[in-house]
Amino acid sequence: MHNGEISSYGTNKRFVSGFGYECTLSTDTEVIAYLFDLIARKQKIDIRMIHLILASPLWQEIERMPRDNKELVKALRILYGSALINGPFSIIVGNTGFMYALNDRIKLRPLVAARKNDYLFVSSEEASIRKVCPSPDILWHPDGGEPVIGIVNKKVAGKKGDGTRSVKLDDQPVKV
Amino acid sequence: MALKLNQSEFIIERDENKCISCQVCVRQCSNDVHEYDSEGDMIYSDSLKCVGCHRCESLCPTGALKIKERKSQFRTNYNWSASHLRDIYRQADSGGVLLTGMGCDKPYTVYWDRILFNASQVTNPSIDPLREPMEIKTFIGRKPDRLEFKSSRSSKNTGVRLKTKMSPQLELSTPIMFSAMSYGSISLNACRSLAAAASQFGTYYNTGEGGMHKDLYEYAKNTIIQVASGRFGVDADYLNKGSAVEIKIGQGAKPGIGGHLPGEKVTKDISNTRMIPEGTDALSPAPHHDIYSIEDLAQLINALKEATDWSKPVGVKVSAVHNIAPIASGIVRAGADFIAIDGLRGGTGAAPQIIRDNVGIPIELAVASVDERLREEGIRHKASIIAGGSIRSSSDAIKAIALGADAVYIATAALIAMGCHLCQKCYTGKCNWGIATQDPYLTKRLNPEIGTRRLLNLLRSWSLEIKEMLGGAGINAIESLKGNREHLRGIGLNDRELEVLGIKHAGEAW
Amino acid sequence: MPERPGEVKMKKIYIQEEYCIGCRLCEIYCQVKHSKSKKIIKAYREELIDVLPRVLVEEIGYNSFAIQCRHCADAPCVAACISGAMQKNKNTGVVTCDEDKCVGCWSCIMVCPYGVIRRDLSGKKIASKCDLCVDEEIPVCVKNCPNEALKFIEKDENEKN
Repeated sequence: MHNGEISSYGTNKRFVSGFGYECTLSTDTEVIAYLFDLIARKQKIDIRMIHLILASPLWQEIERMPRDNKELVKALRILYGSALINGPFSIIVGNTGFMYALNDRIKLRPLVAARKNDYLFVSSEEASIRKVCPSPDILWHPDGGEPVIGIVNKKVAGKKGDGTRSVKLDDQPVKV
Repeated sequence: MALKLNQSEFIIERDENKCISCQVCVRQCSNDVHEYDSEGDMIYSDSLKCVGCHRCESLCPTGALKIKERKSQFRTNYNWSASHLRDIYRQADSGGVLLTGMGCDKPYTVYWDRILFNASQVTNPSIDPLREPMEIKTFIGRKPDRLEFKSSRSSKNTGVRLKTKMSPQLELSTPIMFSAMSYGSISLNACRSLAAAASQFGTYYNTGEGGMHKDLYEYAKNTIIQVASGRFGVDADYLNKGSAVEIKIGQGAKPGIGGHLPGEKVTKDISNTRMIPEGTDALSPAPHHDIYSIEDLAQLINALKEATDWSKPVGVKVSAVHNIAPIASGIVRAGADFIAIDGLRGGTGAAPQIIRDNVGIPIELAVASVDERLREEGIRHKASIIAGGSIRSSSDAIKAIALGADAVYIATAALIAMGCHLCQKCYTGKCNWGIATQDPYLTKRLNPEIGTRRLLNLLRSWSLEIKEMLGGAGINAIESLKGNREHLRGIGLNDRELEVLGIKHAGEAW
Repeated sequence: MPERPGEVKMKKIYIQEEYCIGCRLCEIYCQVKHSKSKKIIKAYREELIDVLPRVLVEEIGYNSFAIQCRHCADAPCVAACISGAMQKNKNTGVVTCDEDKCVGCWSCIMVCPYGVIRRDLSGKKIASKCDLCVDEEIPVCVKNCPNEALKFIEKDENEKN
């Protein structure tokens, strides 16, 4: 699902076509699905690092990272520059094994996530979550470029609360 | 022969009401156009010698001078233009190859002027570069096919580190670099200005085939070393000084032939830097005498990488010719980390006019077809493409990137920033602006303080304009523009041209 | 470093010879500044510009440089002046010639180690030399040098280069 219009469509389309994906629908959302499939499934990049490619941190943030992270993120950004999605977007990608939600890096579209027990909810608006789940355990607004990842039969990686944190490459430790 | 068949190309208009006979024009013209007559307290100007460099006009304190081109003095003839006639007169006089300087000035289509850029409206917001970060940082170098990771206990918080060793990259603060201009074709003061500006702005300049002068060693970190067919100044020391190595196979202004620096311009300093005897013509042969096939090129690339300990990107510069797409493919497969393509309109210090104006193809078409071919073959990521050969403004640069280039090379634009007026007489060595000369009386005229300042301003203006255009199109990182042909539309182009460029026509939507 | 007697901290005009292009625009603008009309075309055509430039461009081969009064700390011209026309201002440090007092004896010209004072024979005979354009923000020669070869800066002249 995709809310927004991506200005990097032409570049992303060229990138995935080099790997055999052909964009046939006249919607830009199509390319996001292909990017995801290419990066996660074919190139085998861990799902917890995908946001570093699709919604990379700014260079000035990368400069401030500890050395190993800086090297890692820089390499990802250099190699996958054409996979960076520019323009406003909130996307939710999912299949039977996982659900993944992400905002563009300067947060031009809304995204809200919530948890109740074993359930993870993601939406553009709080109101729609509350309609289905009136009192979630926790509810949060992810930052631009910060993913919400829910993996079936594993703990949820999200922002606040009960010992789970989102995968943020700064100098705070992560417990997933 | 006493009969002069050639007439002056320029008219010098001197407003006698404003002329104060201060003689600044007399002193400043290296072609001895102006002469002071003390008896009549007047200045006479011989327009036959005028090359149209505007030095006198610029320095005249009262604005009394105006240099105008003297158009067709022959009967109008659409077939035999004035320049055809003039060329034949000169050839009949001399019997030699007519030389010229700077880039092709013939009226072939300039595709930059037939391509329009996009902007966001309504469905996708523009981004304001004054408020939001706008990233134009660019990397030049070979990219791996994929990245591999290993787990790491020591690495804070991710548990993952990079396993793949990245090939060496050049990091540019803006996608603009200074193209190769050798010390010899231009003055040391001009080289100093280019090196200092590149260094201060965070980009790179290129030594050209002149070697690296010791005064420029302090800028080594921002230098791309060129290895041309003459191998001037090349030794292990030279190779290891710069940040990247560029093998010059050809340049846009004279595809297929080598460089030529007339003996008059080979001063003692040039002799030391290029490691050739003083006063001899510096002739670069057409092919490299050890590169006769693509395998030879691969061997040379490997040798240079060995010599520099695999620590610097090694690339190749070629002219844009008819089969540039498969040539580029071969070069990338031969191991080049970057490929610099120089189009038809590229500049030069000296070239045979007939080759400059008739050989090669425009860079716009070359970049589009090379990017397409490399992508089709699945090797686009292996090397960076640098486009050059008349990038005249930031809009040309941004269109080049949208067509598929990683970065652009500018040279003529840089010289214009320093004062060049494109009189095309660089090969005479009498450049009145102190740029394309080794005459110490003339080289003084380019104060590197001023030159550096103007080049920094140029880079800054263009970078800001690029950011404005990116923001207008809703993009905040330049990597999202690379090869993004959706943001370009042709105007007044036929179907074939649109097809080669890979863009739609203005008015067509997706 | 203790200051010498008579030394005042001041900005002076310095020339970078490697960038002097010998155009002599400095001389022209100096003349215009000291003319009656101060307008370049009028000064040259109507006043017949009998005003001398106070900066001089020396040329030897392809080298050239502009030189003018150094406003010396211990100015020999001030010491030599018989009428007291040559004075070094205690505050600004500028050495000027009071044209009303000057009697045209040329003693200053003889003692000047740089040869930058000239005889102005146009009207009343006086010595003519650089006055650092005190009523301008920066001296007009510096402002109008097309190659920025002239600089108006403060330098410690006791420092050896």
